[in-house]
Amino acid sequence: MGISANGIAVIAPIREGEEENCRTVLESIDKEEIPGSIKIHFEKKNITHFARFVIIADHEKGENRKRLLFSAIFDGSPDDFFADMRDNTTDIDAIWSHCEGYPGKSGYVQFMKDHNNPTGTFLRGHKHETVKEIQSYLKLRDKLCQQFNVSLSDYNKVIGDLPTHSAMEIFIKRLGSGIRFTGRTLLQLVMALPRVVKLLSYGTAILDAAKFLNDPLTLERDYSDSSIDRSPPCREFGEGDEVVPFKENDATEDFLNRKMVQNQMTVISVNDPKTLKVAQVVQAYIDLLANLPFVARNSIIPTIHFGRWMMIDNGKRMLFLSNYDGNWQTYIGDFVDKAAAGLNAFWAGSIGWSYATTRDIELFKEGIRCHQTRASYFYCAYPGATVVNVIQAKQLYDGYHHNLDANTAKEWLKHL
Amino acid sequence: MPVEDAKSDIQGFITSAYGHTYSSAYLFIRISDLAQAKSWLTDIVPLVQTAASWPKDENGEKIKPERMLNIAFTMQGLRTLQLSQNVLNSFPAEMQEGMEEPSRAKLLGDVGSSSSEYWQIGGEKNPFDIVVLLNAGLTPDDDTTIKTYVEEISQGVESHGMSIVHLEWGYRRADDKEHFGFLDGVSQPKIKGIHKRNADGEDIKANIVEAGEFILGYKNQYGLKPSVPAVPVDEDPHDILPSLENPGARYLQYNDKPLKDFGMNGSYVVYRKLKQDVATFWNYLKDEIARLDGTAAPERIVWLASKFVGRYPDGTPLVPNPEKLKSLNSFLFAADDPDGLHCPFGSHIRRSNPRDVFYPTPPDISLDTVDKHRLMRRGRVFGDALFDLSLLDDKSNAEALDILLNLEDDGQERGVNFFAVNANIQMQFEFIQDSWASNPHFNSMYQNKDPLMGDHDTGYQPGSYMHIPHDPVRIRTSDLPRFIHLSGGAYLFMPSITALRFLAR
Repeated sequence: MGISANGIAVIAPIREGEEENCRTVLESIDKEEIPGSIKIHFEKKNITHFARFVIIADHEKGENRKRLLFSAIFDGSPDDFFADMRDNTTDIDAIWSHCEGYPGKSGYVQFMKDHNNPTGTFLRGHKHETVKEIQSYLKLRDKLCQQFNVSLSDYNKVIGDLPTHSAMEIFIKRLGSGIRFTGRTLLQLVMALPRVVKLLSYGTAILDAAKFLNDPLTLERDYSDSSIDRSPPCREFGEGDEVVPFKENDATEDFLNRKMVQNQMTVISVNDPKTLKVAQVVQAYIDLLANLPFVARNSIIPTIHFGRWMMIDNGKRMLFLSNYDGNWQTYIGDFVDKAAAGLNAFWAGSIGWSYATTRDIELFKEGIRCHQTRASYFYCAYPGATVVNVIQAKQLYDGYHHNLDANTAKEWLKHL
Repeated sequence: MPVEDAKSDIQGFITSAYGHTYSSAYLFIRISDLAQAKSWLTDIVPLVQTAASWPKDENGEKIKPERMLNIAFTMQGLRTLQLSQNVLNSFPAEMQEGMEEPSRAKLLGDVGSSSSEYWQIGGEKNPFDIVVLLNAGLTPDDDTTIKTYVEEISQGVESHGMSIVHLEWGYRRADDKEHFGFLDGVSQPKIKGIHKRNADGEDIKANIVEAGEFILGYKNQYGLKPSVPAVPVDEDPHDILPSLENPGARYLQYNDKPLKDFGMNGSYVVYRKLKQDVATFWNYLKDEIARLDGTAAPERIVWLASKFVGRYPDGTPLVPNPEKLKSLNSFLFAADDPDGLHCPFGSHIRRSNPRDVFYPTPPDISLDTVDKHRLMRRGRVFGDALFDLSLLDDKSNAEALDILLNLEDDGQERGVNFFAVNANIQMQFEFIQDSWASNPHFNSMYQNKDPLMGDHDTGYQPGSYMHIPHDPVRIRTSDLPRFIHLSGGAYLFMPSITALRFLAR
């Protein structure tokens, strides 16, 4: 059982004129049918939950300039992750040599660390499970499904044949789990301290942020200055706003073909300098809450595997990265239905998104569509499982490994 | 204006299933001459059935209309009627892109043999501008009235230089069953301000949804008015349309100009011609029961089919003590069936309307969420039944069910001409179709799409199974084949009477 998955978000400028070459390389990753395509063997070390490459705008350098964003969620330290990626990609330079200042494979790890952006808020659907653990839960689930692929009259026999453990054995296992849980909780408490300190360092801005967070938000179209022009391309929501040139359907091909149940969202908005500090407090506050011990997982929005908000470009812009289940509509709908005030707090400081960002659902959706960019490459280590499936498979796994007899088996087999 | 005062401006198709009639026809029309089309529209507007209350005779009995006409337009039709690009741009993205847009088609499951290249009507290959929906025939055996009606309307269409590119028929069975043999259309939401009393004259208290979920111009379940297509004021020189009341709404190109409301009292209609493969359905169930039980007893086949649907063939829901229900629709799941032991989570009715159990949210929030994604269904079956569907209800004659052991396809088309009314296609029809029906992980499940509606067996997706909670362990069927195929479809705008008059000018 791990502590918590980690995340990185590396952003590096792409050399002028290299943007399309870079895109071509990214879109061919892992596609064996394309000659010369690169293969990233995340499965070898198997510590990566999610990874994506996104080509985003580089407004500072010019209208047509781009940057390469690489984001990943993984088990263990960033150093280990970067080394894994360097060693298990068939030609890592073919990706990164499009970027300015890239020193080559030997300097890859340092380059990635230098261009990494710290996370402001980190929501986790699986708070403690490693990739290998999740895969083992799902593998057991599939195995049990096969075992019960028999006529109904044989069900009790299959149940009777399941491995059992003595009461003493189970007691010792539970005791071990309890000790690990206590240790982890203490460690989390210690790890929460820097978050508390960071939050307190914002001083009186905490009070301003509290106003957003405690706003009893009601939906009201009259607050909206939403355009009723529903046609592409996107237009800026306000002076200084930056949008993608067209409204993105963010679904990847594998998602549309239902080979993968997860989807990805990359949203970049521009911060209003006047409210930047408040937005930073909101991120720090929600990050603290989400990472306290006993807050087992995000249960408000059950479709989020991992969601992260962070300030980039010295606070000029905010980046939102999400790995979620199902389609865009459901995800945004869930957010608005259940956490409108929270969303408002996150985006209230963005230029062009008025104070009442989520008071008007359609405006909010329009805003997300106009600020999001689809990933050119997207990876998940368990493409067939939703957050809820992982939780159920874990319950099944726990039950299987603490099975006393046929009666206890019937209880945990409810999760099959 | 409250919605109840606007009934004479709302097309009756939105508010009523015209349950007193048994026959339907759908005329899919292409326009060839603008002036003639407008002339025809001018003639047809007075014939459009509205939602206004039916008059009463001297005994106080409602005089039910015998023939009803309604009309809806594709985006292509609105373009042909020369609405400006500004107006067209104000329609929702799904209307502008169409049901057949490739990424949308995948999300809706319209792939393989159900993709638009094989459709009989709709899509790029078989476009149309207008659909006229006719309902008539006060008895099940009266098919003359509708035929006469179709002939009459067709003459008017053709005499105005337009062509009927496709004609569909539909009918309501006397027993209200669809072709698999199950009672259909049981669960329909009621519109606040419109549906006040049930058939018995009692006040409707449950299952009421805000008018804005189905009619543009009114608040929806979010407390917001749905966005509407709008017309710049100078494009309505005869001042027919009402002003757009939303003060914030604007065209980016027309920042300061006032706008007219083209959507008010109108709605969006989803059309899908659903072909049912009845023989495959029952034969699959027969084989599954043989696999599970070792022998294929007909009553067990019906049991499994009922688990797929969530109701018995006669419409009785799979709930504990169904005999105590006030109606076939007056039940929830949280108290009596939280684990799906009676009505499986994966069943058709429980995923079309999960009611108060929507994992992991509590019952009140589940109900609230579900009410934001409802449809007003207006389907009518087409084609003859493959077998005597009443046999499924005859519990006194179990032997008659032996027919299920030897069903063979007869090569005839049968299914449902499905229409659904909603004010927001993305949040209602598409949401239900993609996030609920075709979602193999809906409501905490694993690899289980809607057993009836799902796009199973596409060849490239993982298998889809039906999970049935059961003691001691859930039953999982083998890979499901696809039982329902799409052979036509379109997203339509059903304007108000006022907007029809605007279109006719």
